[in-house]
Amino acid sequence: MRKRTLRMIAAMLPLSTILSLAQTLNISGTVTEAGGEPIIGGTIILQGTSSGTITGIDGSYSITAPANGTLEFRYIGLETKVEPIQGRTTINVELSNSSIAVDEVVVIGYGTQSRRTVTASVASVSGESFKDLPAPNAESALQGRASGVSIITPNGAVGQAPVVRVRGVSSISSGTEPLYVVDGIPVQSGNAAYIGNTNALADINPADILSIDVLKDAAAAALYGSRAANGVVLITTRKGQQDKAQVSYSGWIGITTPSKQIPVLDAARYVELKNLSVSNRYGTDERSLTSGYVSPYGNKAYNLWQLDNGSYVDTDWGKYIYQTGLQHTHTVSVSGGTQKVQYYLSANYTDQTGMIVNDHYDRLGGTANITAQASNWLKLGFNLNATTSTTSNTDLGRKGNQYAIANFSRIAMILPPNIPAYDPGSGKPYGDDLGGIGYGPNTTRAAYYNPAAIVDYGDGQKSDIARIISSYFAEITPLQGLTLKTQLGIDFQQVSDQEFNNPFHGGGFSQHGTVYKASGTTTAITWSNTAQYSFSLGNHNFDLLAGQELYEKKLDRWGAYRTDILDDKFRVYQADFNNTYPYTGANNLQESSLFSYLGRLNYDYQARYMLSVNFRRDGFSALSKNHRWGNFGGASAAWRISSEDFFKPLSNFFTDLKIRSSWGIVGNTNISPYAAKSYYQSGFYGGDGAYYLSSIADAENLKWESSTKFDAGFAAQIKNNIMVEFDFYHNQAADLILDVPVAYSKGIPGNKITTNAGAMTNTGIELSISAQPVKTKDFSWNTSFNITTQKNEVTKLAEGVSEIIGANDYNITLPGYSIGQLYIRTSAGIDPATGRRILIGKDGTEAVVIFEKSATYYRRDDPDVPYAQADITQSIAGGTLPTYYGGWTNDFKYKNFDLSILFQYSGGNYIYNGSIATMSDMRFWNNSVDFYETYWKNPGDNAKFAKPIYGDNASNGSVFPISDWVEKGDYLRLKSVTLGYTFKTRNWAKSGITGLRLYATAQNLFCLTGYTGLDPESLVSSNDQAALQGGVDKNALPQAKVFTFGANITF
Amino acid sequence: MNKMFLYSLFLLSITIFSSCEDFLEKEPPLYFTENEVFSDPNRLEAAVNGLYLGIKSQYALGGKVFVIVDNIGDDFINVANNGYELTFTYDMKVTLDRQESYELWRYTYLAINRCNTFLKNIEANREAAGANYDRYVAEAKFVRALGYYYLHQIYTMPYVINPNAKSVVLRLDAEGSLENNNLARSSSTEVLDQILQDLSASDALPTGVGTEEFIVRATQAAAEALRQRIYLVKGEWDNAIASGSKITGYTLADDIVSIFRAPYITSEHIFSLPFDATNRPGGQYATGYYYIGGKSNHIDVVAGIVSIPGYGNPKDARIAGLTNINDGGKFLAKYTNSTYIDWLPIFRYAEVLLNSAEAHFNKGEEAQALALLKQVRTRSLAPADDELNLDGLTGNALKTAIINERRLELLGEGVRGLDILRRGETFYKQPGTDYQLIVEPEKGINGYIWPIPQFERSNNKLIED
Repeated sequence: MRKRTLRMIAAMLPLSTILSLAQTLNISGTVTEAGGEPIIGGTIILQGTSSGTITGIDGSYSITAPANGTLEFRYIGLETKVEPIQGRTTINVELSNSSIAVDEVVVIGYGTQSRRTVTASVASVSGESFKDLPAPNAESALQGRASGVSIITPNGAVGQAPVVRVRGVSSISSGTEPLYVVDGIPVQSGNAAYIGNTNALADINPADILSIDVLKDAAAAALYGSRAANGVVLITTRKGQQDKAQVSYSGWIGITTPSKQIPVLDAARYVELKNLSVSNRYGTDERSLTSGYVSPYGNKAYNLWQLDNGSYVDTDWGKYIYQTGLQHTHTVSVSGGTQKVQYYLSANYTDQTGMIVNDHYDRLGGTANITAQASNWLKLGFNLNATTSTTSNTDLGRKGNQYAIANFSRIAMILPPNIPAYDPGSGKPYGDDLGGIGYGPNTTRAAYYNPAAIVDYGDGQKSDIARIISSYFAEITPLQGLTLKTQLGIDFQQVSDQEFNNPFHGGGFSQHGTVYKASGTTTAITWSNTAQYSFSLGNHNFDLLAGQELYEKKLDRWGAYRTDILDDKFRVYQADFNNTYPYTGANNLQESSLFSYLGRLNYDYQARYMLSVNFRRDGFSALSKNHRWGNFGGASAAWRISSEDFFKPLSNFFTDLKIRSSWGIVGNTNISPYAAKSYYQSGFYGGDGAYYLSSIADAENLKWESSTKFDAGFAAQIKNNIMVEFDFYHNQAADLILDVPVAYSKGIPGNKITTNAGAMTNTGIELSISAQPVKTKDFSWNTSFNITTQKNEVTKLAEGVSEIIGANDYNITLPGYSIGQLYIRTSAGIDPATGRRILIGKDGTEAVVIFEKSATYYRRDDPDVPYAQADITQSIAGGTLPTYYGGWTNDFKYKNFDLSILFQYSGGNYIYNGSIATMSDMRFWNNSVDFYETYWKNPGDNAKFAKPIYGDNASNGSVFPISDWVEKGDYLRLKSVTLGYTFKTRNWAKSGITGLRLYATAQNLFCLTGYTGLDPESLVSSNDQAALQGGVDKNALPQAKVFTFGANITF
Repeated sequence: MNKMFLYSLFLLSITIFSSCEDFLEKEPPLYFTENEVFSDPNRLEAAVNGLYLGIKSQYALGGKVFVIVDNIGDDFINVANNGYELTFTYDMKVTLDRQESYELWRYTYLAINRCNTFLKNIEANREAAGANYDRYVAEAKFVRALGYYYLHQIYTMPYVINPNAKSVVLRLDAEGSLENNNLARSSSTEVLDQILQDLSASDALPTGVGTEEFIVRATQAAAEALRQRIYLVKGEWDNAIASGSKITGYTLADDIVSIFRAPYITSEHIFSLPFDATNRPGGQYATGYYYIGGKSNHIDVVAGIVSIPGYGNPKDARIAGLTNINDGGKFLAKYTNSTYIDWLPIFRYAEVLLNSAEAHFNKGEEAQALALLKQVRTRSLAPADDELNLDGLTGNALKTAIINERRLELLGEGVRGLDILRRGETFYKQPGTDYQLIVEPEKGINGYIWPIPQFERSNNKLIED
């Protein structure tokens, strides 16, 4: 693996042929690791050319080079050494360890640049750093590794996209996800499915990723203009190298389990507690709660179900919901090439069974790329990534559907434990003749579904995806330094989605079996033409870029659903059902286009003074005709003080010091293709056609959302050993495209109008420090720490709009605060005298919840006088965006062992722990052990929960959220620990194996947090509106704990 | 060669540059602009259908309204034990945040704004409307009036208790901007007067009986039937009687069961919402979902109307044909189509007769009242089989008979709950049982009527209780 990467870099050097006029020599020698063994596969390059060689198994090499040339000796992980030949024919070289490579290549928009001369803020993560991680997708690999990039894994379900935010939230309504660019092609990300929930970026195999570079400031991202406001993530995949074919295998196998579950009551305590609540309400628990229903199991409202063997039914519903999942991934790759043609081919297979029953993801894919130097002025190549994947699940709690009846995390918690999963008599999944669980031994019917039934009868969603990301380029070099490039990229995605609901139990019951189907394609085409000219005038180096680009995206999807199944063997759309209907929302045709001009000037003087100017002009079809075009751009400059003479006295300490600053304006286009159009839709009224107003838009004025970004910082290398990078950033987003909510009574479709209104700032610092505190022959310790702070503030909303209430009514967004504040009704706890919940009214009046009385809310000082619910007003209860986050990695090496530990942390935010409310609801739902132990029992109790009153959903936060459940979201997580062993394969030549490494990894081992819910990262909303309704954990799933064992082998 | 390639590349670029404005023109292929709809007479006609389609939303009159009203009422028991299936409505605990309330509010106002927008746009497109202009305007106003009627009844304290009670907000102009979020509630009188004013355009509506086109769209009779309901709400008995007598040409269907079975077209239907495979409500919203197989609602056979002697007669066609009580069950069988495409009768002639009977009674015209009542009763139950003898009933006994007849005749048709509210009566649900629920008008928004939903309050700061 190590060698391959190195050669890759070599292959990326500009290939231009230079005629050697000087005297040539045959040079040979040996390359060894400082104080150590010979290096196999080290690269020797003749500087300024593409010619080079690789060391053999004994570390020896030979090369033909001009006597006045210079050789570069490289090996990944070791410091590159430069040796002028000066007529020598034998050059032996020792390469020393370097933890920090100042000279690495950074991928920037439409090209690459040496890290030395970069003026912008770019976070780079090499594929090497996450190669051992069982990362299901590229985004997850970034967690804790890149400063300024926050990754939130919404829960432990497989196949979902994490929430990625670069330097905070820069938009309110139009998306906060960065733009992803794979090998120069902007690709679709996020959920691609209509019915299910998938992650479009998971189609790129993490093992094929060479590096990920995140463009954070405007100077870096400006070349992506209107799409860059949320940052740009550039993914570079592995390429071939000049060498004989090298075959690699990497793979891992592992298990996954839920990180935590909330302890719920067993049947005995459940029955006791529920009967108490019935007594508290009606004076006796000897009654049926349903008119006309008599329980065969006893005369109380809730009863135990005694089995023939004398034991009682006591169901742990979590057992039917959670499991230990098996996951494995394999990648085989071949790479190689000649000086003229390089290739890389790989195939991968992933199979992940989740920790949730029926959660499954599998992927089979391949990557191929070839680059050919067709003539001395023409270079051609293509890059192909083809994948098929299937994401399936029975749990319908994904996509934030926390109240779905088949939301597994919720039913695991609330189903009555005195009802069996399987009928003790028939052995079939237990349920009633109305498609729900039914009464069991109780006298209230549970309409919820039996998870064992819907799993056994085949309910679930399944998204089959075929994805081809391909790009084709031709590069012409008409004269030295000038490169003309045309590149066509096609991102094609076919999604075939299905949901099946069986006829016996659950969602399919009332229509005797249903199946929904949505099938469609999205095709995004990018065609870019660029001219790049690099030249030097003395020590002044220039790099110019000009180009033009077209982008077009089409969605073409149809959908239908069927009901009334013929045979219960059927579980697919194509089978026989009695009825077929159009699936209205799924039927869709959309098109959008973007047309752009772009340009860049990079200048440096001896890599001491650096300047970069970027420009892009974009036209976007989705905006109003009057404001379709926007200009974006940025400028950045850097000064390497350490190269100055006056710095000399300090240069023993600061081996390298560069200060830099940037400013620019970028935009955001993440809006619907017809956001600026008002239109009518057609449909049927009975048997007749009908047209109706379905969208009202700000057709005249909708324009670009723009983000002005300022960045200042420095990068320093201290004593060759410590790297420090610091940035201050300030982003000012204006003309934010807002879905401004309107009063329901205005009758506007969607109850919102999309318009430009609002402004927001994000300010913070990023600091990353890397060092190698210990280094001996046998032992080394590399450590890297990063922290990002962010202060988000909404500064303005639309004219006449003072606040935006999140769609779930848990959040508020208003000027002067960070986006998505919790907006919660204030509780003053439980009245010790009466056991009633105290809520604070708008005038400070104390109200108490007396659920059994009709008005529910009464004055505390006069419990016969109702208190209006509307007067129990919400208050701002804390920001939901973390104010700081980061990671800390430690890599230890002892002889052949290596140990890597990644901590990741985040904090400063508040979470509404809504699952507490779910677990303390006094309907038939089960309750938490915590509730059982801390509810109000006797006068004088300082209780956490109110006196149990049957049916009460108001006292403990189900009706509306209460301030008692607002908690801090700070956490420190041991994200991963990897222990590896690398075999010394230098003498294994006969076996054909050139590299072998085995490792074991544990993910999410523990999380230090004061948060009492399942996980401070587990939140409800993972969609685009996440920021407006963030910080709410209501019936969310736990995270996944993963243990894996893996191997990397090269031949 | 080299240069040729270069030149062609740049030539290509120039071609693209020149056509980029076209490249950026993307019109939605599945949608229509306002102009496309309003300038074409055929589309305009279909846009009127779109107004009915609006009020036919599954969240409003085309799905949940009937079951909401009947769960408010006292003839059914909600056994769903599920907030999504109107448990809170039945328990009279609809709070600010309840889904059934904010959905009803939201989608009824969406339908109203579509009418308002239509009324605005048609002014600029009179030519396309041609001779139908007056009719279209009258239809839009009819749909608006229908929407306001249901909102008024559910969110307003009874007019008979307080004619100036705070009612809903009256939106009469097309809304399409961010302005005007704040609007105070109008009084009950103002809302009812507005409904009557909208219905005053009804002369432009067509007349006709017994065909689909005169059932699924407004006729003069449909407007009159709504007007009659308003007069009952206001206690204007003369007007109610006059309205009833203006509804002519309709007769009771021979068999009441035929009202609820395909093709849903009889001489009794005045106005119904049609359904078809392409436009049907989803589960948990469909009226039929609640009743088929007793999924969520059972007929209260212990304390409801069918428990009252004379109203559970096994020979009564309404018991025999429209419930499964004779088989020992308690399910309503008015809606039976498992795909939920049973049409919903909003106004039918039997109700008009019973409305008139009530009005006559309240005027002291007991003979007329009794005659109308018997007309409805004998259609379903032959006098020979009837254990009750209605002849000679007077005073409160007659009043009770009229009310009881309505309860049985219109069982499950979204009427009973509104009747209790309009009369300002106390709700007695499952009286005399362990499950007895008594809600007096004094409870106001704490159980008697619904409070204006939180989502309205969040953006309309002028809402007051």
